[in-house]
Amino acid sequence: MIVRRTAAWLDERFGSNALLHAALKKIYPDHWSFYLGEFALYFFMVLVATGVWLTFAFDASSENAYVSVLALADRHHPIGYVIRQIHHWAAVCFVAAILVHMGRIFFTGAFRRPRELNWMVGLCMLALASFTGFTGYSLPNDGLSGTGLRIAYSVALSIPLIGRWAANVFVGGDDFPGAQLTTHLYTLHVYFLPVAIGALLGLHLFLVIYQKHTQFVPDPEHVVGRRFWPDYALRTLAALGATLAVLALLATFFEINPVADYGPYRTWIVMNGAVPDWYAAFLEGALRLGPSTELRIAGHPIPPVFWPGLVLPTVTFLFLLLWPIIEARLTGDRAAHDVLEPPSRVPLRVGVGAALIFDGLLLTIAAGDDQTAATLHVRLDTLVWAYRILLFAGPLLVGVLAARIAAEMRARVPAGGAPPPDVVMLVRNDRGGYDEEEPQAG
Amino acid sequence: MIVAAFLALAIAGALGAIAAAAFGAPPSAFGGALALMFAGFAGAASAAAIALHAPGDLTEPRVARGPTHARPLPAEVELTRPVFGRLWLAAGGAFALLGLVPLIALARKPGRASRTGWGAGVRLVDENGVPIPHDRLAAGGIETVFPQGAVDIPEAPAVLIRGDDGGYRAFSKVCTHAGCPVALYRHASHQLICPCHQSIFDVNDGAKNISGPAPRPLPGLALGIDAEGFFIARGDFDAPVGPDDWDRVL
Amino acid sequence: MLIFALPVLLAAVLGATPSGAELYAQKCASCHGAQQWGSPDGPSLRRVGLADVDFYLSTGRMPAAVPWIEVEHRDERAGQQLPLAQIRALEAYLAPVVAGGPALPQVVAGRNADRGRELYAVNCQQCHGVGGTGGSIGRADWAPALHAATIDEVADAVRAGPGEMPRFGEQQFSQSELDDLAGYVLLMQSGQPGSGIPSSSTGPVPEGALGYLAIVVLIAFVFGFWRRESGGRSG
Repeated sequence: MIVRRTAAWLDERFGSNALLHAALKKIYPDHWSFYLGEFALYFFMVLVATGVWLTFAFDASSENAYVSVLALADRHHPIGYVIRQIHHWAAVCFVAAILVHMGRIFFTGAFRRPRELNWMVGLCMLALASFTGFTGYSLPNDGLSGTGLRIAYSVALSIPLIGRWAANVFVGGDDFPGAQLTTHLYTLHVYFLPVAIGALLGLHLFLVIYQKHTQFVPDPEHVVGRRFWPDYALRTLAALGATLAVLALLATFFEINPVADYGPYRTWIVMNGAVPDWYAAFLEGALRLGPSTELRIAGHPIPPVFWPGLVLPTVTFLFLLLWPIIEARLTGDRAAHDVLEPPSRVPLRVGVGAALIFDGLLLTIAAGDDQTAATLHVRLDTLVWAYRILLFAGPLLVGVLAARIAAEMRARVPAGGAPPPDVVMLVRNDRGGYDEEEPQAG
Repeated sequence: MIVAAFLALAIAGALGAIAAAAFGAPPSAFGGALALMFAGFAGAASAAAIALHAPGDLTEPRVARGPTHARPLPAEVELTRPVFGRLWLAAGGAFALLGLVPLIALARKPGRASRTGWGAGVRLVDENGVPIPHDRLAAGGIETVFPQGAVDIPEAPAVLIRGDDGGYRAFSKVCTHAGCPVALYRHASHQLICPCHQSIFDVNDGAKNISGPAPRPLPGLALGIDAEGFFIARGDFDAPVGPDDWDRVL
Repeated sequence: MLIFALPVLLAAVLGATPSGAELYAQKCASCHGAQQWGSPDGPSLRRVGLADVDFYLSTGRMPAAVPWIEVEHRDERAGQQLPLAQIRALEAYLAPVVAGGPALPQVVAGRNADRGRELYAVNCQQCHGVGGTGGSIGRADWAPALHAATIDEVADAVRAGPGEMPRFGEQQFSQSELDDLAGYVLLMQSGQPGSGIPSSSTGPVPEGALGYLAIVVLIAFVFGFWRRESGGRSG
């Protein structure tokens, strides 16, 4: 009743009921893998909601940040404790959900024309989400995150020509940590980065609606699926409930980021086994595997952290950003696509994707190479060299292998056709061999 | 109905969470009640979706959004007089260039602090400011030391080491790779190791970087003993501290 | 060898503690030499200090069960754990030989948890990790976890600097600082590090893995739901 009255009130002023009808009747294609982006969206919404609460509990000055978070880490204040746990778990899951969603988009070719821009928007959100996570877990100014900030500061310093400028902007001063680092991180984490993500998210969702969602059903002329109301709406609400339930369970049973253990950050204290949150671990691994050579250009040093710390992620990001254009060039397929295909239809993409995933996993695992070496009883420097070789040889092998497998799968199934039958009739021919009998039509 | 059952669970969960909060129950109770509420909600929505589902797919036509083959500017708004388009562009470019100025000014002190606090005659002190006597360490011992009066400078921390041979040495604690404290000391192997990326420095060879990604040895600090028997430095570090940058031309 | 073994076995059968000399001859001399000067298989014990001897014997690192394995980097308590009476007998026997090194420390569990925590953070956690979980120290070596350490073992290790561990003498750590540090190690074992705030986290690596597991759970939920809903249609 209230809903009807409210809708009528709005309709009198904005003519909104027509829009409402269109929205509720709209058809969306349906597949379980289409919910991955929604998981990312819901994690983001939880982050914003819990984050707003946390801004009231957190003291953003360098001196008091740690103590204010300690109060939230104390189980004797259960509400604050649960909210902070949910916030950090949501961040961990948010980036994971984006990556899985991105994988689905990548392997099904949903980024192809006319959706290249949306792919780029999404990739930018991945980068922003990672930065938001990094700045966020660095806010408590604890021993673990402070160590990571020091490394980030050194990477900023390593940029040729503008290194000192960049490092200065980062910490607000001419050395680390400076008096303003926590405050800078705070405004980034609470304002600039979430607003950027929010704006891009709006564009991302608008583009999906405007260009209509892709689908697996091979009917390019129509969107085939379910109506938003009640089908899709209820299903997406169920996904929201599941997301929230999973977060609540994680926050209840698994403690994350125990800042009380790490102690406040001091520049001259460090702990063994210091690694960043998982989505930055590939950078840590790259730093460990990186070379020790310091190049010099006319006497100016280029410190070794520059290559694994900055060049690697930038090149990877640009490569992924431009992938829709690269793939269109390499495959010669510049047509518009609204229908998704099984990944194997484009073996090049499968190979490249497999290679990227391999290297990403390898670098992430390399972040813990000291623990791996000690567990496996191998020398650490031996393991580092093994990883380095795998870093270059692995993606070649894995990529080529994956592409070959995809090509074989593609060859077995004609485009748009049905998979071959399970039963194949063999007929003896007069040369003594066997021929496949043509499958009966129908 | 299943939907009703799930919704009842959800309501129970919400009420349970409120009760847990009101009675100061431990976080597991509050979180568990929350999980119950959300799971009930998810179940209710799922059950409702299943119940309300009509079989079969629906379709609506896809509308190609482009190309329209129209020019960007419609005929109605074409300009009637020349307006020096390129000059406007140049002005815009100059304005954008001007935008670099506040950007550069963001870094108010674009240098890099080079003061380490060490110098000839400066006493070594521990984190509490207490000077270090000459017999402080056992053979195979290590302690973090600071210049007296300058404990807060980030480039100041150093490690004072007494090797198994009994000799004292001191080196910068700031790793030349990415700035982490080089805190691990293996006295039998006479090595300092940075735990961040496993750079190894040979203490008996001037903290030379023998393994790992560090590009330079750790700067050394020459030691002396003053009249009262406390350790002093004989000068600053013998090399710049920490990781390099473009402007550190040697 | 058998000649030396006989008194020990006899003593074991009779329930009497064999003498330190007999124990040393049977369990240690083959590597450390009959006069404790060492051999290619084991280092000299001259002037190593009773703290060192007590550490290796109490933690069971010595006698080495398999002597030809490079034992100085061993982190497992894989040696033969001698009964306390035999340890004391061995120590009494070796005391004049090992004198000159760090003496057997006395320690009680100190109560200044803040100072203990501070000492641990500054001097220990770069090798032994936050919460005493242990950690890699390069090559293939490991600073052990402290979950099973007694305060006597902690005090021994701190004063003796066994293996690659640095040595913290009395000039560096006073007795009361040692007590507080040992007390803090006990606190860590009871899951009460930090500011008395217990934690069960195991670090960022398992956290990331759990995050992905959460995604998998959600996918399973949606997949199962979708599957049921659409009768398994794959398009």
